[in-house]
Amino acid sequence: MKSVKVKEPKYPVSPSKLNLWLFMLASSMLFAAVVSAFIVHRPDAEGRSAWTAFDLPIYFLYSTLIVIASSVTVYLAYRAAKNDELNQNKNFVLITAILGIMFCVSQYMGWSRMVDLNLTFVNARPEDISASYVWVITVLHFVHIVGGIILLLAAWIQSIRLNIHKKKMVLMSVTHTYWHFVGVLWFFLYLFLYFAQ
Amino acid sequence: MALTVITPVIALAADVIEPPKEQSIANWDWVAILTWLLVLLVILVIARAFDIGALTEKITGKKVISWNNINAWVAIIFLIAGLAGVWYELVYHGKYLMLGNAASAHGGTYDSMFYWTFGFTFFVFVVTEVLLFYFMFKYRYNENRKAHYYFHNNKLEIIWTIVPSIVLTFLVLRGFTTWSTITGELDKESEEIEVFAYQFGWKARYAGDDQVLGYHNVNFISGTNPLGIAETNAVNELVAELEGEIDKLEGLQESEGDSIKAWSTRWDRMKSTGLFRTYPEDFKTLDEKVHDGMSGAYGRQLEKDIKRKKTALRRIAEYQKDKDFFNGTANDDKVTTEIVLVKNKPYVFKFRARDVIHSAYMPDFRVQMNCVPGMPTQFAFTPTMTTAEAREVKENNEYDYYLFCNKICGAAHYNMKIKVTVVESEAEYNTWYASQAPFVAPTTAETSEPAVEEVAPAADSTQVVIDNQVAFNK
Amino acid sequence: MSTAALHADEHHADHHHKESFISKYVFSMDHKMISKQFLITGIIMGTVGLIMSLLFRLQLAWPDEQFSFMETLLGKWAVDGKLDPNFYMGLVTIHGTIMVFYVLTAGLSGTFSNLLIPLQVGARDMASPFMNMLSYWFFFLSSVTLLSSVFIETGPASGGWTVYPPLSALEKAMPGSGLGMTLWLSAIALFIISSLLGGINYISTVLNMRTKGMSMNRMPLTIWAFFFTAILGLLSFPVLLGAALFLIFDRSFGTSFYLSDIYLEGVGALENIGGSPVLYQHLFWFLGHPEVYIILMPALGITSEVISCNARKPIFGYTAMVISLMGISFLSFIVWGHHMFITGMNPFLGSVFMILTLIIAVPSAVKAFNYLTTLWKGNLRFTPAMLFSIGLVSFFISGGLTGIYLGNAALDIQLHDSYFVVAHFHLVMGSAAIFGMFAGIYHWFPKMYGRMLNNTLGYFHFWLTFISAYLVFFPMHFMGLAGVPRRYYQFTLVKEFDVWMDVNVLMTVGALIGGFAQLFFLYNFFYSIFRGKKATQNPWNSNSLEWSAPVERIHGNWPGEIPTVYRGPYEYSRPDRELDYFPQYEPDESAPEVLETKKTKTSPAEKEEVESSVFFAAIKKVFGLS
Repeated sequence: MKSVKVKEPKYPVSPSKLNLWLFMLASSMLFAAVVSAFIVHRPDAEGRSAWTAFDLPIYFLYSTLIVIASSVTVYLAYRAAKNDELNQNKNFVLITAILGIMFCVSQYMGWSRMVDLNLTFVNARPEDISASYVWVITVLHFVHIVGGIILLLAAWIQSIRLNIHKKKMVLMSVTHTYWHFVGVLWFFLYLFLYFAQ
Repeated sequence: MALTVITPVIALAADVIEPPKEQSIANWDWVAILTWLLVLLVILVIARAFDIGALTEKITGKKVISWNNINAWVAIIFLIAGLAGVWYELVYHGKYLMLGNAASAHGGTYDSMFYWTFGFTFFVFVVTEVLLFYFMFKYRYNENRKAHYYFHNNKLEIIWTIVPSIVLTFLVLRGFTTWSTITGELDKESEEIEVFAYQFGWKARYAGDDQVLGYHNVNFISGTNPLGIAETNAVNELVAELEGEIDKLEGLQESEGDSIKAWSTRWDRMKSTGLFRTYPEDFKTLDEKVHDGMSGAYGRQLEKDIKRKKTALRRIAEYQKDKDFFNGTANDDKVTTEIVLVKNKPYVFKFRARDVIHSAYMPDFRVQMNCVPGMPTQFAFTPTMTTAEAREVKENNEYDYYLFCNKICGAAHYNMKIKVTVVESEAEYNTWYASQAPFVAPTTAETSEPAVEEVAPAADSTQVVIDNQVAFNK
Repeated sequence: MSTAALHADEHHADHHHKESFISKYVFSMDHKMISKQFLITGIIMGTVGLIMSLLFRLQLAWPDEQFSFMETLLGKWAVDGKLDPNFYMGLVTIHGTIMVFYVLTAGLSGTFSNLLIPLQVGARDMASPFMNMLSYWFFFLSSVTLLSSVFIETGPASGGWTVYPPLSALEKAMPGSGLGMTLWLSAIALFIISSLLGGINYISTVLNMRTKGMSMNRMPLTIWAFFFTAILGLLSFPVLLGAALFLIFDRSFGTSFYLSDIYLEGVGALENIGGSPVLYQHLFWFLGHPEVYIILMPALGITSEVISCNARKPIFGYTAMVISLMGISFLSFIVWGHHMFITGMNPFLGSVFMILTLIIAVPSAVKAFNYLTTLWKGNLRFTPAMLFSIGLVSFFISGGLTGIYLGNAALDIQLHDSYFVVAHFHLVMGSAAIFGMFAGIYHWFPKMYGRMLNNTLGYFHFWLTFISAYLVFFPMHFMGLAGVPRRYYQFTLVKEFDVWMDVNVLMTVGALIGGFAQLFFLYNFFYSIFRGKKATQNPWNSNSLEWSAPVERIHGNWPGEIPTVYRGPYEYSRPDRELDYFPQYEPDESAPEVLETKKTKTSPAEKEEVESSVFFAAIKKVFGLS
């Protein structure tokens, strides 16, 4: 670019961080849509006695605990990077990623449990529309988690290459924010599903 | 049977889609093509002409055309012609508009609401459009003038925030009362008529002599019972029919391998003897059969159909356990292909749809309500003008009221209507009513249990009422 | 397809660094090139949509006529030159989808947000050029997917552009609900991704990358409009994605989110039970209503800019304009229920939606009055862009007023889904927005291609289009009031509709004139890209920042430092200046930022008095009241 030499403006916020926030806003709206569909649908379907309320598999609770733990570790990783404690940062990022994978496993077990209970996505009994909603919500969230794990692994690799430190925080802080987002998102979704069922 | 089962899509498509015709250069519409070419040519010539004009201006230094003035004048001409057009439309087509001669009790309220809105908006429309074009004309560009530097004026802006707000408040309040009147308390005396929508037509169900609409369920629908009315014999017939079909399908399922083999053999034979050229259509069907058979689609479709029919049987059985459901109130219900109403009598239409969303639209009565499968809706109104009177008002001896479908529902949406007749007296109505056959012939009705009078006049037959749908009119 | 046309740029675009053809014209990350890609794809889609509308208008005007060219064009869908009812529905659906999403959302917002946001706020490019490129290519894929659905055996999606289930969910309900609907849903999913990628970029750029001195209250109204549009899109498109996901699950996996108690094709009731078809409508219109403003607001923004520039007069009530945009944006999220008054919703809910809906009329009225006042005592230069903007104001008023009928739950009983609705939204959303788009094209063509469009052709284009739009859409009001339902394939089967046959013919003739008028535009556009008159740097003597960038449209927009902004964008005809404009980027420290504030300091009350009395005197004079 020809304009390399001239003074370029400094932006108040890092563009990728701002974009991330906007993305999180959009994806919250997606979940809001699905959750409100659930809320609107339930009384409607119950009116026709076609709504099965069931207890969530316990695995989803384990997932919640894992996600809370991982939020703590990702924060520790972030703080470590900020303080230039590179080794610690690397380890905490890895731990968080592992916790993320554990979360996936736990979700998988939860789904298996639902299948065992005959609460499949495509309802064996048409009345189990509630189960379909649980599937939609959890799978959509799962997709977000996978994105988060990819970010964490990227951060881990960059951390090994010593590319994350006090002066180069964009990737780390994006990962940190995003992971908190999926964590908080799951926490609320879990609470919602737990009480709405 | 088997064919319709495996290839319903194709069968349906074949109904509607005709095979493509051979295209050749000979049956192109040369006239149309030449016309369009001519049009293009004209445009090019016009463009050139103006380019030359511009060039002349450049060379001579004189303005040949002042587009600014031309545009300003065209604007004024457009304004006058436009207003004249609006006036002409109002006068010329005014008499065809439904407004002012509503055929229902709430229609008058509706029309007065309309006139108020029309008064305000038409005034604003004329004033603002006139100002817009007048400004265009008045303030067209003049080199010697400088525009008025006018940034804002709080007072003005507050005025035109407040004034529309007041007008709108008025319209909202009036709209609110109109809306509440129309959707308000249901007259207890109202006669219930069920209006049933399906692709592509309407049926009406009158309650019969017992004044009670019998229960219904979508699972009971069959060839002889198009509305799915809860009548013991019809449902038993359906059950028998379903069982028979399941047996047949299961038979097909057992012989699946053999059928596929037979089709393949025939396919090979047609292919080797060259018969496939003589009977291309037959060969195509066969080819599809073989393809479906080989890929397992045939088997899956069989399985799906059996499952669907078994589900239907299971559901019917559940309802059959409920003796209240088959209480005989449905037996004397009359399913009709025309709606006949008596003037000045309150009615409540119960809407139901069989397949997709339809919308019952009776513009003469200012009535419209969606018909949603699985979600009964209703609309209450009182007709106040007989068909004969309407004919007089419209100066049209053949005028009839219709109930149209007003929600896109498929290919024949445009032809989905049912005639509505409003008669002057009960006597006329009774003559028509007597001519309609009850669902079960009276001899059977006598042997069945007497109609259960104490059953509340069940609004919607199915089950629990959902506030969302019944609140309307309740 | 767009690349071929854009190729011409090479002759005069003076780029300072080597770029391959692919990186310059195809996978370009430059916002100006992306905006051209959006524009040309939009124009192509618009042409397709227009031709579709002409085809079904022909059917409506002459239902018994046989058009042999139709058979040539459509083959099996118009055997013997008579349109097939299923394909008629398909045409209506795809016309609506194309116009709403592909032309007026992506074609309008995509083009001008991309072009103007960086140029008018003073940024080198978008916040994320890569995402921007993805945004276009998702849009392109989406367009291809949608168009391909027209060519499949069972025809395109044909349940109306709102694709209400169960009609759209059941393959057996109509042929178009098969593969055509699947393609429609995929196209829309791709489109949503494209919109979100674009929207994130627009918001981020506006918030974060404004040049020095460009405070929010110095932004041109175009930017405000694009900004609110992007926010609306960001918040509402995910909801449509949710609705579409449920529909996909119902169609392809066998769930029953929207399906219940359905009997079809003579083999017993479907297994689906417990679904709620109305749920789809709630989710759809939660997007659908903001979508209307996603379409309209950029057009309003463009109009504000063009009217102010060509009236040589500051836009009247800048703050009020911004606040009303904000008000409209906010309200648009809570009024979706007015599309559903007659679905059998709770009447109380209906009242609430009615009140909220009618409130929107207030900010809209403020905007209309402000436009009028901007024209008042201006010095109007009728460039084609200006004419189109004035046309927009006219449509905005005549179409907007009928919204007051339709927002009224009681009146909606009769008018819902009648031709009145068709008239309403074609005027206020269709015609107004497309006029905004044309205004934008005529105004910023020099910025895009470095050449001018031919004005004369522009005038022909404008007047013919303007007249034809009113010819087509105004009589529809009367049909609607007479209770003629929309989406009918032909009206000859009902005697009562016979009186409207001549009107149908009139409307079709109008539509044909309108279609013809677009040839002027297409010729003008593509001719001028290559052979148009060379543009000067600031051909309209405009104030805003984009005209400080060189005509050559270099990568990074400005060769040197990004200019600093010293004042608001609408300082036209200041009494203290010789020239009738005062660019935002022109440093003049001694001049006050806004002349008026200085003046009002001396005697604010007196001044307002004078101004308003002049205004009222003028009104009185117009009506001969004085």
